[in-house]
Amino acid sequence: MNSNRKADIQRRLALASVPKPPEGLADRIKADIPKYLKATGNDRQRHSRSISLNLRVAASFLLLISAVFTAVQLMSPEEEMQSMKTVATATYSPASPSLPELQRAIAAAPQEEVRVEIAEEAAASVAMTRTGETDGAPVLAHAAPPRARRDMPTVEEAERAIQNAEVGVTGNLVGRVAEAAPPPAQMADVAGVTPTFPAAAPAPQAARREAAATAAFSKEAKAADSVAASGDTIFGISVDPAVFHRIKATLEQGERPSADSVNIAALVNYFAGAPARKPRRDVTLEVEGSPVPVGVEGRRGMVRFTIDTPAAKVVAKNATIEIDINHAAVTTFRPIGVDPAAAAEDALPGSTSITGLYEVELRPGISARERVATVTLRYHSVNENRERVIRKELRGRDFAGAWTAASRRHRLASLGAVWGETLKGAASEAEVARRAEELATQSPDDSRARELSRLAAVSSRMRGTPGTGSGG
Amino acid sequence: MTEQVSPAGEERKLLAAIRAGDTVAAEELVERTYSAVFASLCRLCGDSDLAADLTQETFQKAWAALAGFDGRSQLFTWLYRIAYTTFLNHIRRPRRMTSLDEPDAIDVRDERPPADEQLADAEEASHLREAVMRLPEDLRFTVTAHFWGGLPVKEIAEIERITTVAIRKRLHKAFSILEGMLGEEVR
Repeated sequence: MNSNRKADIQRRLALASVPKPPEGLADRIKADIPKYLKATGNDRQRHSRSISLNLRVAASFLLLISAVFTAVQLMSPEEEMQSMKTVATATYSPASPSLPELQRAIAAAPQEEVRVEIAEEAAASVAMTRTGETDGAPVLAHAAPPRARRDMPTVEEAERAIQNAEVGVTGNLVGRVAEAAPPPAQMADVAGVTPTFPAAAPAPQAARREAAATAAFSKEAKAADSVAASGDTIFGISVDPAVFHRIKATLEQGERPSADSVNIAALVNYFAGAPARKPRRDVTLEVEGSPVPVGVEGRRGMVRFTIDTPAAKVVAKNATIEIDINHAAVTTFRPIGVDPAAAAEDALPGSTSITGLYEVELRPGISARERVATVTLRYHSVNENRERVIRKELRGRDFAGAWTAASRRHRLASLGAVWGETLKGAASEAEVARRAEELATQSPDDSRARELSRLAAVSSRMRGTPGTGSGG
Repeated sequence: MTEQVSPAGEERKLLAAIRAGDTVAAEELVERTYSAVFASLCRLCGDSDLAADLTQETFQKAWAALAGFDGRSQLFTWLYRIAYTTFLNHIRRPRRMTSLDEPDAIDVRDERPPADEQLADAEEASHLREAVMRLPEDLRFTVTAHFWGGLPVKEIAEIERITTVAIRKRLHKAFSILEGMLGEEVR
């Protein structure tokens, strides 16, 4: 299968039309919510409270038993320690004694040792009955001390010795002792933690990316503001970031901006922003095509051109931009904020990015190779002291893929334009908001994408509200 | 001015709130996603009324399955999976088979300039949908998820537990099969 056929199939798949959701669908869906959440929320709360209570009770018992045992250890003479060793050796055999067997062995031991063994057995019984998180095997939270030492062992030394003990580490009871012998403090910590639905803490890496994005955004904003200070339009295209900030402020105040305050070209340029990487040349021209971002019906596409001048000084003079639309391939087209009559600049300012958009309607059946548009930038290079021409073309295949396959810059610029049009009264606000959210999710480091997502959602909820806010 | 929480973090917070029984958070989830779920289902079944019913059914299943969502994929990706399965279950139900030959019931309430046209008439759209539905399941899901669900390749790879290269191979294979079924010619 050749690339043309592939592109054609992709185009047909991507352009599958879809109506808007019927009125009331969202309400119908929301009406199902309370039944579910009330039932599951209460159950979950009861369950988590139950588990927390069990763990706290178990921790309390273990603390008590440990304290009693330690006290007994401190008060017992060495001979009794040897007797306990004999009992322990006979009792904790490698043959996995069961609890009844252990109880019988303890009962047969000298009376003086019974008190200690009973405390141990009680700990085992308590742990087995009180501990909520088991896999079926009884868990002893504390263990018998080592028997072979003459000096009085500490609790920690006893636990370590149990883990290394020659006697019975394979049986259920003693094996679990060796494996799961946390000190009481650990059990207390565990008991204090809600076992289900842990809140996702922000990852440190994400926080660092966020900080970096914020710094980059601030830097970009400053750079953009410096451009605004030198002039609001370039090639007749508004590059004034203040337009966006005023619209944003209006929305954040709960008001919808008035239609005439929305300069779509300014929004396009705000969201297109600076290039992700510093271009190698003093002047670069980007040209890109795609289907329209929302309401993909018919053969509508977006043509974008962006001129970047990364150098801080003026490097291009007597610049002209020309967009030639091929009428053999395009039925209709309209500039989005671009004033074709003002397509010349005496000098392109440095550290500048200028983006223009055209919406085109492709003729039916154009081939992938057919030329759709040509963008030509002519200027006098200050550094080289000569005329330069950059010319780039868009063809049918450039509009065949999904909009989501376009570059992030293109998606931001085109979606910013469509969003601006919804602020002026066009429909599809909900779909714009959804696209913006997808874009923000795919580009978590891009502050502009997040802004567009947030504000598109805000304005979508205001749909139907007349614009009252003052803007540009 | 700048958001302090990433979109992924916001999604996690939203999910945590819903799991804790916050109905406002659940409604926000609906507002964010229902139109996209509807659009996907509409492209799958070609009937807006049926798509609306399936959308409602999708969210009913989503509430019940929320506890099992592990957050590996994006929320909409998970929802799309449920929607897709809901659609398949619907067409497999006895006495409720959705004929793929039914004409589209597209209600275009469009306010854009009249110069806009639909890419294909209802018959062509139905033909395309029928061809897609005849693809093998793995290819069909990949094609519909990417083109009609709007899921990026990476997300599809995540929920399918395979590589992005494998997803792209699936797409390529699907195009080959569709070409044969549709009888495409370069014009």
